[in-house]
Amino acid sequence: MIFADPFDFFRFCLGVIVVVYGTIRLALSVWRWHEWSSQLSPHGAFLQRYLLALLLRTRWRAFLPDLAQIGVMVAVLFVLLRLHR
Amino acid sequence: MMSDGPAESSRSLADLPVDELVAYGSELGLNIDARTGRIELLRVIRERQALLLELPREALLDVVVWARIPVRRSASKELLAKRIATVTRTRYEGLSDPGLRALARLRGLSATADEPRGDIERRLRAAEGLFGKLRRRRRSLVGSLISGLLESAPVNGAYQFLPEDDDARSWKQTIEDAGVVGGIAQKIRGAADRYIYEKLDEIERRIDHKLDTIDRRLEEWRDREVVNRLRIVKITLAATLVVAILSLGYDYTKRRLERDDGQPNAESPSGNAPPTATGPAAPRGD
Repeated sequence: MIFADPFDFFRFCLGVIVVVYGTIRLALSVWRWHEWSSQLSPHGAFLQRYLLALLLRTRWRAFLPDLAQIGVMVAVLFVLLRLHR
Repeated sequence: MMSDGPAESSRSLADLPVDELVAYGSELGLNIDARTGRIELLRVIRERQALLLELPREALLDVVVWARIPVRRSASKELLAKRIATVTRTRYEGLSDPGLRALARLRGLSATADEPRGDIERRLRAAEGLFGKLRRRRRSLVGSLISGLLESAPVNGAYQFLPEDDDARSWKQTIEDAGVVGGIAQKIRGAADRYIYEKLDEIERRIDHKLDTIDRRLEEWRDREVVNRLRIVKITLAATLVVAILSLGYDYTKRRLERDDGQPNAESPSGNAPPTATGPAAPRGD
């Protein structure tokens, strides 16, 4: 039997649900952006380019503490996954 | 704003909203932001205006010529100060002593007439800060590389002021050139044109300022959005970590229990205990 242990089954189900949910949400977001950007008027296209420029002008140094926290958490997650073996 | 006279200038300054005060002060080279209180903003701007009244105009023109900023010789002190505020150059060769003192004072440093030139230059360089110096070195290196690739020889002609407006010509010269009626018409038209240009410039400045404000607010909105997204990522990661720790704890406990279940057989005093239902006892220390 693949899942002799109920906790293994729970882990598997949780992983599947989270991955499917995340993929669907991401795909929906991408699809909405695509729909929005494909039906733009000239003013909308200008706004889109401006938003892109605004995004590129982001100063990531301001978010360094948050990014460092995320980096540490990802590292801890990898260590935990490795300890599972 | 300074040309209206001190009383009117003070009144119009006091009427300005905080963001316009910040924009005006920043243009004059003051290091201020919206978090500075309104009273403090008014105080530092008035101090800067007083400093501009005190500084000799020739010294400001020396700085402009040294920095090779295109201005008219007749430009107001305020305009000169605004242009000088954009200068970041730190090589002071070719700048006169009064110009150097004026530059130091505009950058908020003390500089007296009897002070050696070297001391003022050192103070100006020190005010740039470590990161400013590093940034300058990096730009200098990149600039020399690009210059070596693109430029054959540097071109450094003598500085020339921008040409003055025709309105600066006297009535006599205008009437001599165009006759009485034509001359008077030219002068009146010139005055009307100048008024319109000033108004157009003012409108343009206001539009630019509004666009800057919109841009700044959109940047704040973008930063808030990024912070929110990063918070969501952190919450997701924290939840994942909790599940991973629980899972690891479960695995560890399960392995421990399995090992404990197998150990009594191996640790039996007689050493030949019968095998359990799950199979033969695991050797100790596996």
